Amino acid sequence: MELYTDVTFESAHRLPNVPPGHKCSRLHGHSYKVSLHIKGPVNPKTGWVFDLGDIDAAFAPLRAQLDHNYLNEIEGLENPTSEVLAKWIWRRLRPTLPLLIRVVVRETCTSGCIYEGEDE
Amino acid sequence: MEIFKEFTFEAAHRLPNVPPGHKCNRLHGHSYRVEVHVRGPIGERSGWIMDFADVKAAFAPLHARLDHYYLNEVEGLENPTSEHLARWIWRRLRPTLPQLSSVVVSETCTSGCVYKGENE
Repeated sequence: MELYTDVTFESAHRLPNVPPGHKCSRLHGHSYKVSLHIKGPVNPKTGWVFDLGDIDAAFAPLRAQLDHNYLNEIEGLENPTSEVLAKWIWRRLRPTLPLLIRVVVRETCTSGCIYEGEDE
Repeated sequence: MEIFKEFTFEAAHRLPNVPPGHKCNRLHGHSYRVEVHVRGPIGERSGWIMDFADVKAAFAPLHARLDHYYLNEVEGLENPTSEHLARWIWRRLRPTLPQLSSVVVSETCTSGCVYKGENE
């Protein structure tokens, strides 16, 4: 079965490689929402796949780096598109969260990026 | 009766006057949501208070100044708290929207500021 938890953070960013005049090249920001999906069998004793609190705990050090910060200044996020950010989160979470199967990054309520560890 | 229209914009900001170490002092950003409320009688023939499209048209020039920008660099928003932003919007909307009754600014889904033109 699959389980997910949503985490949010408030960050500034700009995209350095978009064409001149593109609005995303200006310094701006978002209320980011990230869904972390894990998949595994339901433990017959606990009745759950995983303690959702453990997902939050695994994400906490990343949240400390991302929340109320300027993403472009974070190592590995010099071009902080949703795609780059999803992969950045995946690579840092997977070692402590081997059941992770999907990272969904939303910059706004209407646009997002889904990463399932392709190319890893 | 009152009608309202919601707008969103994506912006960076920092609060220069918070105590040292406060997270809002760091450059970060939000997906801002703004509600513009208009109060008045229902037109006998039109059946509405005003055309939603006119609310949108009145807000458009403000949206152009806020969306995908660093709020601290916008004139009058050097200390861009929700409170200052709500009043900034009120002062610029009221002349073209005399029926304006309140401006609600939300930095996140769970926190907001309501301004009804007090002290103007």
